[in-house]
Amino acid sequence: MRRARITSSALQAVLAGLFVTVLVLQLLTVFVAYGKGAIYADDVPSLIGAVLGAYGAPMGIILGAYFGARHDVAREVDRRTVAVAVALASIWNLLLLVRSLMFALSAEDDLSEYSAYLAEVSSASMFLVAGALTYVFVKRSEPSP
Amino acid sequence: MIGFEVGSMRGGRRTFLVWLVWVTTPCARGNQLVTMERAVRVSTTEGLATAVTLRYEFPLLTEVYLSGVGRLPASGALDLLVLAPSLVFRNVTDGSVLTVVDLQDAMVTMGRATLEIPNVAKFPPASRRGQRRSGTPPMAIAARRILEASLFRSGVVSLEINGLPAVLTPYAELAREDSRPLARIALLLTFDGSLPQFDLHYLVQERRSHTAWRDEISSETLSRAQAQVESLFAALEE
Repeated sequence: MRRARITSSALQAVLAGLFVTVLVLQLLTVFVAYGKGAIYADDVPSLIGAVLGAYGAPMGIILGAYFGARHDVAREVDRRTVAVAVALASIWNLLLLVRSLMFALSAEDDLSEYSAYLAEVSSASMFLVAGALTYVFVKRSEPSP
Repeated sequence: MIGFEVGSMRGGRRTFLVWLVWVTTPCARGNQLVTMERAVRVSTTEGLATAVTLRYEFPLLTEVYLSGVGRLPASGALDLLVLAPSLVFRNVTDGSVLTVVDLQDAMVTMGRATLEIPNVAKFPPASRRGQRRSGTPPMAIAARRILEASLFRSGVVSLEINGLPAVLTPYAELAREDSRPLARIALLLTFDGSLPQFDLHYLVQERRSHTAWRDEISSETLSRAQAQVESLFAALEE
């Protein structure tokens, strides 16, 4: 039986949407923390920098592919690959999002520990998404014979 | 054995429980010059210290010299945080040792409390200069007055700065109002030799729930701290 397939551009849209959405949520948590008086105004830029720094590598791949290969022909990707890519990307994003929500909503936390978590966990878990993002966003279609 | 909560850091996240053991030291048992009423080992940022409450009386003398404290009336009571392993009472006139209170063997405690003792160099120049109306040597009385202010129940450290006696408190958190930043204050009292005059210095820091302590404070925090200092200042002058 032939496995159902979707196009690489659709998978790119899903993954890009996932990363951008969670990135925006993470940034919002910084403002929530500031809004509830948990941090000072001059802490906001450094925290935004920490969040953006965590997302630097994956967003670099995504945006680089978007601007550098927008005229590529879409190729087909089987559903299992799609599921694995989306699952790994979700896990990577959840690792960061959960900590950010804890930071924004908890009564007590430590700004420096939170920043360190973002930097350490995002880089240590990059293996989860590096392969999938490279495959989905960077691998080009095989040239037609 | 009695246990009670002596403080918390970062709000409710780290609340520390210290077990206290009330002891009578060999010194107190051996003679009645010094009676140790309480000796509690506490952790401070300067290392392990002993919170002691003691009474002392040296008949036939008018003054004694206590190591790390300076000259004191020959009888009285003290509440101190002592960083040294022992307290040495000396004769003021010839420097001979009157008695030594060994604090190491007397203490048995458990717990994780850490009192943060500020660096003396961080204190700003004297905030208030006062004079005790009674004219008595202010050292021991000042320590007791500070302890009577509920904010500084954890104790005071006596020390000498440039050869003059001083009293230093660990940081104590000011009462917090709703969404206001957390604030803490530490006091340093310096005494001018045998004069009844004293200088009161205070150091205030504030933080929000997710940040570290910082020296830049809001005017609201400053006024809260000043109110605390003023009430204590009045008590110190009595």
